[in-house]
Amino acid sequence: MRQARRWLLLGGVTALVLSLIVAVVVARGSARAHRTVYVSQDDALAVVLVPGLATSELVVVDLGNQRVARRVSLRSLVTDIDVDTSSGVIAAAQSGGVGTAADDAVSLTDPRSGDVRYVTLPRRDPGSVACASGLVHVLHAIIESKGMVESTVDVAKAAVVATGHAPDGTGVWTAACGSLWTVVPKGEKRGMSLVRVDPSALSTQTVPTPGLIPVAVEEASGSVAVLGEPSGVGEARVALVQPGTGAQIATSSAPGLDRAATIGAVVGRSFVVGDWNGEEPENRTLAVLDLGTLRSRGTISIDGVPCAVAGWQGRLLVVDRLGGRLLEIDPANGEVLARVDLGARDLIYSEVVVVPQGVRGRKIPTAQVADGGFSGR
Amino acid sequence: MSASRIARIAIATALIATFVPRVAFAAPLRPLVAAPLAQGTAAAAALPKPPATWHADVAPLLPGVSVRPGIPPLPTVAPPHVPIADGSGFGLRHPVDPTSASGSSLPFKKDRNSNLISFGLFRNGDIVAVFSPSSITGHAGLFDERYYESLSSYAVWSANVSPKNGVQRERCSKYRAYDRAYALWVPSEANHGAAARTFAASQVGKPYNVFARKTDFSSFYCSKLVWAAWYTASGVDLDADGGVWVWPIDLVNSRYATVFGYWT
Repeated sequence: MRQARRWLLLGGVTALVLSLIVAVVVARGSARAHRTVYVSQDDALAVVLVPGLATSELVVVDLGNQRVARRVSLRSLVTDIDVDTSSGVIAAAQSGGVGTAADDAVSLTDPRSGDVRYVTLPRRDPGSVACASGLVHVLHAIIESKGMVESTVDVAKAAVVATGHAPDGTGVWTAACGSLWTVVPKGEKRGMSLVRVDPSALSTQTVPTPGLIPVAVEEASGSVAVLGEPSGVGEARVALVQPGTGAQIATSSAPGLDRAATIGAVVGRSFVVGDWNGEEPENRTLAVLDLGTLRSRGTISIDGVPCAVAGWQGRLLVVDRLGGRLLEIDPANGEVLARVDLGARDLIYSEVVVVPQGVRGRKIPTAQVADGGFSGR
Repeated sequence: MSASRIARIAIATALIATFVPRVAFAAPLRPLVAAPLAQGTAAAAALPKPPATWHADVAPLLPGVSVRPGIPPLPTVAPPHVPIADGSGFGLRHPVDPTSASGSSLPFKKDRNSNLISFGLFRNGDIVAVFSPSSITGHAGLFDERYYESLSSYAVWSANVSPKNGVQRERCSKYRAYDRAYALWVPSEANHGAAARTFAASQVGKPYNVFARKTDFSSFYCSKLVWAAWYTASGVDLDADGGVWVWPIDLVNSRYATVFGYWT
């Protein structure tokens, strides 16, 4: 009996010691993640989203030195990111999992310091974010009689400042030329409508896109680029639209793409377009169009699967979904100038944004960082 | 408290922490069973009478979808079927070859628990069910073609955790983040897919409640919304075990639902 008690006591002490060791390791790892190694404001950065069900990661790439500067872990599945160009802060929709595992926050990350602040939203399941003028406009996957729920977060205050409703659409949510843009289905018949949304009042206006079914929207140097496909034909089409009047400036097909255009970026005097939509077969080609006329300038073959693109100082940045790399490419000849390993392969999806040189990061006080962990319900 | 009592408590805690997750996750690993299951439960007896347009179990041909034509009628009694873990499902070759991401075999082991379920193949009313070790019951949703353009589209009707407005439409990409995914359709009632989708959409505003019986349409949880949509639209009961509640795995196991794609 005495021996049994001795063994029981030994087992209990062992379990306690192991628990303490695990706790110390986790705490040290957490402390390392929040170490404030500051990246200079002179560095241009690319921030790439690497999504994961339990935690997502923002990989901050120093574009000048072509290396990973830091990795920032975020508490749940992130479905969309955008950059507030006035502060350099990265806003991320902390969507979480499906159903009961949904999250209810937007994270604000200073990529230069690695500090993160979670802003709790009044409703769950934020899916899309669009930054404009120091505000983050969040689109939720919550539908009410008035439309999809929208929350507005002030980046400087790190607080929700307004709520409202956006049109019940496909989830496209882009800030371009002072407005928000979304895509709304026309009903049972195949077709979508492009809708401009006023960021303050959330009032809406349908913008006709003759000959083009809109799928995505990007800002294109003072114009709005509408990406999509022609009615009933499986090819990519792009239109440039005046943001104020909605008048079409130019329209063109994008050669080399097999289906509707879904991703695009301004790169110098070019507009680079891709058709990644998460479905097989995944195209390894990007189309290069003239930014002013949308005339074709050729195509670029990618050694990988291009799922997200951005432009920086005339260079094309491409996220290779399969290889888990950020590629820096010269759009004039397709030459790969740099490859940065993101640390994960076969990404579910990704996004990439650029924080330009000279944009001072908004220092988030360390006392406010990482507002506790989130446990999926 | 004596040292031995502390030790007993510590060991019991460690044992519980080790085995409870395994037991909880064991439920979704039950093999798929195509044999008919008893429908004569009290809950089934309380269901509204099915509509007069009840169809026999014959799969119609659908244009433009190469996976589905040629499916034989469901047998009255079928042997238990365990899916082959290569994505081919019930002898149907899924167009998305799970061993290849872009036309060639993956040169490395996947380092993330996710799937490549193809929403481009889904039609109105098709069902997606996902499972992972972090979710005891899994999750299910109903596809709506009207809102789908890409993986980023919010095109899956389901029920979320919310005091009100539990019925929502989720982003397709979130379903790719799960360990296991199944794509299901109802071959004998495929022409009712749009009606099932419309029913789900009409439930916007209803609250989330996991404790309500499946016959109580005043609130929903994810798999109940799917079940109710198909039952209301076509009269088919997709609950494989005919219980008071219907779980995502019950939809996967249903004799009326056929897997047309999956990833495990």
